[in-house]
Amino acid sequence: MKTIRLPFCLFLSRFSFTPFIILCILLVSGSCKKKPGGTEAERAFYYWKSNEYSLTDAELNQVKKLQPTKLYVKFFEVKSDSFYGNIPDSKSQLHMHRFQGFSYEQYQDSMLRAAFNNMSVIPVVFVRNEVLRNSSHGLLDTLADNMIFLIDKFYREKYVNMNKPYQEIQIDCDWTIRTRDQYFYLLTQIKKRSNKTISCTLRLYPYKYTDKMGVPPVDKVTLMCYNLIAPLDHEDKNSILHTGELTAYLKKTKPYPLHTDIALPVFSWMQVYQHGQFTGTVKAPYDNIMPVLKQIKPLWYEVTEDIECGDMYLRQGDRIKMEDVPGETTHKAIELLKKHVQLEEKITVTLFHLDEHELKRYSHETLSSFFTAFRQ
Amino acid sequence: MKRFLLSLLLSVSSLLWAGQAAACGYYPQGEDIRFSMLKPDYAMFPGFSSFFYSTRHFYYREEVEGDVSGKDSMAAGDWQNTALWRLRCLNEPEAEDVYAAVYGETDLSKKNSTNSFIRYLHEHSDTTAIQYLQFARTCSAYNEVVSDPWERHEYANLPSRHRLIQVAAQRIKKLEDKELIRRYAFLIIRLAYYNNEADILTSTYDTYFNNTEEGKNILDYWSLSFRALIEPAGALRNYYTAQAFRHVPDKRLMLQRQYDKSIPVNETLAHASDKEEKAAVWLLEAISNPARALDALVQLRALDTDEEALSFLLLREVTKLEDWIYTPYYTYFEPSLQEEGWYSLQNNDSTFAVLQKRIKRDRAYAREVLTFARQVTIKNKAYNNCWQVCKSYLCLMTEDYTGCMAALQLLNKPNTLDASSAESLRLIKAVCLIARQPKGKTVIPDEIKPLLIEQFDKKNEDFLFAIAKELEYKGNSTEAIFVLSRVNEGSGRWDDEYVYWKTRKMANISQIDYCYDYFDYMDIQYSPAQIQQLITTLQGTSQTDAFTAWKTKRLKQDLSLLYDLLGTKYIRKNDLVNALSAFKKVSDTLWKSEAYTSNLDANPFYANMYNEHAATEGDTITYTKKTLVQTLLSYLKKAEDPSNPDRDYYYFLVANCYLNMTQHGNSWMMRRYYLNSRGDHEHPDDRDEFYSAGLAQSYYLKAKAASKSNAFAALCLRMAGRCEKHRLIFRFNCQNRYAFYDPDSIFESNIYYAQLKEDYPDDYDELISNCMSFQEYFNERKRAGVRL
Repeated sequence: MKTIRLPFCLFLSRFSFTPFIILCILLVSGSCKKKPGGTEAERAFYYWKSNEYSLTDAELNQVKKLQPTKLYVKFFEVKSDSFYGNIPDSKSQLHMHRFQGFSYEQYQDSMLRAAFNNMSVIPVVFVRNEVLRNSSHGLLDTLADNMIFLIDKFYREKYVNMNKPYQEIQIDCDWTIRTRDQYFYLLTQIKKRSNKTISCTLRLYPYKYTDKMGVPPVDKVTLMCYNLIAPLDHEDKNSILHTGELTAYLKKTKPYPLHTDIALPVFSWMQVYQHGQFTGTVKAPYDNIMPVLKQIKPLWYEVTEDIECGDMYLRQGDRIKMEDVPGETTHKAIELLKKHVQLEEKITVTLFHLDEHELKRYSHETLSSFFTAFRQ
Repeated sequence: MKRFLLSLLLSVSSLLWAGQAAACGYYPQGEDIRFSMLKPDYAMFPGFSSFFYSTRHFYYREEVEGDVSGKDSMAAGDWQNTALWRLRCLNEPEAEDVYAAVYGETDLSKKNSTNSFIRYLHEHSDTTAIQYLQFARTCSAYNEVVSDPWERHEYANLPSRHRLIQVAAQRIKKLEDKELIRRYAFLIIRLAYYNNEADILTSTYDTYFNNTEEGKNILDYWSLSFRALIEPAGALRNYYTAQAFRHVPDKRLMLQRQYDKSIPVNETLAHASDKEEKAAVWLLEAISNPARALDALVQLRALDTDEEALSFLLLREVTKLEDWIYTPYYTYFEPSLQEEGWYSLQNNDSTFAVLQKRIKRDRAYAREVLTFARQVTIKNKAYNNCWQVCKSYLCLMTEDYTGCMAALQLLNKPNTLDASSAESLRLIKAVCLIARQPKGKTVIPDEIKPLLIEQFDKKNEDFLFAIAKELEYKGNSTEAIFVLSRVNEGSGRWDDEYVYWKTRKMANISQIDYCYDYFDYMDIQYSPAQIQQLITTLQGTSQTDAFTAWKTKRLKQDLSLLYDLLGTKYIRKNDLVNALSAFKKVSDTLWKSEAYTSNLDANPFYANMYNEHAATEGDTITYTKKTLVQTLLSYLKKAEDPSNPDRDYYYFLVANCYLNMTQHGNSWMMRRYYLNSRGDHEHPDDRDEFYSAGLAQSYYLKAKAASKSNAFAALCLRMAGRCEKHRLIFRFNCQNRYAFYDPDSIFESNIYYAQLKEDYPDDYDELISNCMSFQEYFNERKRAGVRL
C-alpha cells in the first residue's frame, strides 16, 4: 500500500474540521503502519571490530551471498579522559578501497567491488555514558564538531572509491535518564552540524518507557533486540536473547513515534567463572575449547582439562556459561516483533555482527531467513 | 668449485665490474669510516655535549664519560633555577634539597620535613611559594606535545591544560611577589607553547619578560626559548634562538635545530644590541656550521671571553680537519661528513687526484686554524691543555713536524697535563715520529712501541692504522704489515673503532672496494717481492721482546697462508715454478682445511664446452694447489716435447686447467680467495686473464695445431671459441657499465666460431648446437690412431 504524505499536508491546509482531521490522521498513520504483505526488510550488518584492516575472505563471501545494502561500521568510540577530555577510542582500522599491486590485493579488490556494488557504509559512533555525565553544552558542541570531522576524515581516507558519500550517521549509547538531556543535546548538535540522516540505537527499556525516557531527537531508531538482561544477573537465562524478557519489553500500548528498524543478534560468547567469580569472556571460534567442556546443565559447562584459550588460561573445574542464539530463537523473536511492534512497510534489519566465526555458526539459508521472515 | 658466497647472477656481477658502486647491501659510511685517532675529554664541555663532531646528528650525553660539574649537564638550567630558589631562602637550604623539592616528589606539605628547603618555606610561612611548587608539579605532566586524537591538528589543544593556564593567570592577579609572578608567567608560557596557544605565549612573554633590563636569570632565558620556538622563520627567530642557546644549555639541541642557516648572519646580528648578544649569534652560527667555521671563531673571540665555548669550537674544528684530512689520506674514503655536501665520487684515479687536492687544501685550512690558535691565550688550565693538544695536532696536519715536536715539549712537563691531554699528545707524537723520517729508512722508534701495545689493548684501531699507513707511505711495507695485522683484532665488525680502508689498486674494478683485514689488503696491494720480504723478516725474527712478540703474533700463525698467498701471486703472473716453490712451503694442514678442500674439489684438467662450476664426470681426482701446479708443469713439459705424439692431448689438458683457473672454471681458487656474483676483491694483476681465459685459449689453439685428428682439431677450435666468448663478454662489460650484452652479437663477433664454420662446416652445427657432442669429438683422437 502506498503512503500518503503529500496529500495529508494539503488536506490540513484546506480544512479545519477537527474530528475529520483526527480521522484523517488515524487513516494516514494506519496507512503507514499496516502491512498486509508484511514488512520488507532491507538487509544490513553491523561491523564492530576495531583492529581489522579489511574484511576476511569468509566475510566477503557472506556479504556477496547475503547481499546486504547497508554496513553499519563502528568508526570509533568516544570516552572521557581526565587529561585529554572527550576523545575517540577504539578507532576502526577497516579500509575499503581499491588496491593496486599484489595479486591477492587485486583479488580482494575485485571481491570488494562485487560485494559493495550496491552497499552503503554507515558510520556508527559509540558514545560512552560517562562522556555525557561530564560534559557541558559547550563541550558537547565541540564533541559534535569533532565527531563529524573524524567521521568525514575516516570515510574520505578509508572508504576511497565507494563512489557515494555517506548519508547517515548512527549513534550508539547506553544513555540513562540522568544523561538523557546531554545525549539529546548532542544528537541535536550532530544533526545540525552534519546535515545527514541521524539514527540512533534504542535499547528496549527506553523503547518501552517512552514517557519516562523521552524520544531521541533523531530521524529514526534501531531497536536492539539483544543484551536484554545484565549478563551476570541471571544464571539460567540467556542474556543475549531471552524471548520471555523480549516479550515483556515489547508489550506496550502506544507505538513508538519514530521509524523503527530492527537489530538482531548473530553472536555468541562464553563467560568464564573461576572459583565462582566471573573472570572474563571467550569469543568465537571455540574449536579448541569445546572438546574440553562438559555440559552440566542448560547453558553451563565445566572445563575438564587445563587449556590456554586466547589470553585466558582455563583450569580444570572452571565453569563456563555459553551463550549463543540459535536460529529458532531468533525466529521466535521476529514473530514477537511482528506481533508487537508497529513496523513500517520497509525497515532495515541489521544483524550484529559481521564476523566470520560467528556467521559460520549459521547456514546461509538461516541467515537469509532472518530478513525474509519479516515479510511472511 | 664452490663459491664462497653468491655464485649466481653472473651477468649482474659483470655489470658491476666496471666501477665501484654502493648499489645495495652494507657499505661502510659515516662513523664506520671517520678517522678519529684522538679521544678528547669531552666531559670538560658539558654544555655542548650534543654538538661533538660526528656523522651522527649528535652525540647523546650518555656517550660522554664523566662530568666535571658533578651534576647532570643536560639539567644545567635546572641547577640555575635551584640557585634562584636558594637565593629566595638566603642560601640556607642545601642545593640538593632544593633540587629534590623542585624536581622530585618530596612531600611539600610536611612542616617537619627532612628536606631543609621545604622546612625553611614552612618556617618562614612562605605558603605562596609552596602553592606555586605544588602547582608547578601539576603542570609538569603537561610539558609535552601530544598528538591530536581527533586528528584535526598535528598536536592537541587540551582543555585541561588551558584550565591550568587560566589558574596561573588568576594567581598572578592576586600576587605581589614579583619572583613568583614571573614563575607563574613562565608556566603560562610553557603550557601555552605545548597547547598551541601562541597568542597567550606572546602576550605573557611581552608582559613579564621582554623588558627585563638587568639581572636576567634562567626564567628569562627559558621563556625566551619558548618565545623563539613560536617566532616565524626569519632573522628575529634566529636572534631569539641564539640568545636562548647561549644561556640555556639543556635546550641547546632543540634550539640549534630551528636555527635557520640560510638567513645571512648580518641580518640576525642586526637585532643584537651589544657584544654579548652578538657573540651569542656567532656561537650558534659556528655550532650550526659543519664546514669551515674559523670566521665565526675569530668573531666570537673578538666579542666574548667565554673560554668554554671557544675551546669547544676549536676542538670541533680540529676534529673536522682530522676527518677531512686523515680519513681520505689513510683510508682513501672520502671524509665521513663532507665539506661540500653529500655525493658519491667514483673510485678511480681521478677521484684519488681530487682527494689529494682536497687534502692539500684542508691542510692549508689547518694552517689558518693553527695561526688563529697561536694568537689566543687561554687562562683556564683544562681548556689550555685542550688548546695545546689542538695546536700540536694542527702542526701534524700541516706536516710541520718540527713545529709539532716543539709543541710536544709540553709532554716534558707532566704536572701541567691531565691524563687525557697527555695521552693525546703521545699519540700525536708517535705519528709525527714516523712521518718525519726519510722515506726508505723509516723504522718504528723504540719510544712508541709500548704505546702501540697500549693502544692495541684500548682498541684504538685508528691509531694503529695511522702508524701502519705512515710506515707504508715511508716505504717500510714489512713493518706496516706487522702493525696492520693487529688492526681490528680487538674490535667487532660493527664497532665505530673498526677500520675500513680502500686501496688504489682496487680502484674502479670492484663492487666491494674496501678492506678490513691485512690479508685481503696484501692480496690486493702487495707484490710477490714484498710478501717474500715479509716472510723472510718474519722467519728471521729472533727477538723475544714484548713488542716483537706482539707484532708477529698473528703473522706467525698465518705463515702458511702467507706462502699460499705468495704462490697465488705467482700463479697470477703465470710463474709456475716460483708458485710451486711457495706452495711447497705450505703446511698440509692448510690444504686439508675446509676452505681449500671444499673449493678445490674438482678435476682441473677436465673441461667441456659448457660446464663451469658444477660437478662433472671428470671429477675423479682432486688436487691441492701444490699438486695441481706440479701436474700442470709435467703436462706442459710433455706438451712441449716435439717427440711426444700426444702433444695435442697434453696441450688440451693444460688448456683445460687454465680455463678452470678462471672465473669460468672449477679451480678459480688458484687465483682468488673469494668469488661471488659481485666481483668482490678484484685483482688488477690478472683481471683480464681471470675473466677472459686468454691462456686457455692459446693452449687450445696449440692443441689444435698439434692435432692429427680433424674432429679433435674442430673441438679445440670450439673450445677456443668458448674462451673467446668469455673475452668478448668481459670486454663488453668493461665498456658498458649499465647495459646487458647481446648474446647474438657476442656470438657473431666470435672469430673462432666463424673459423670453425669455414674450416669444419660438417662439424659446425654438431659442435655449436649439440651439448652432448663433446665426448664424441674428444674420442675422435683415439680413432685417428693416437695412443691416449
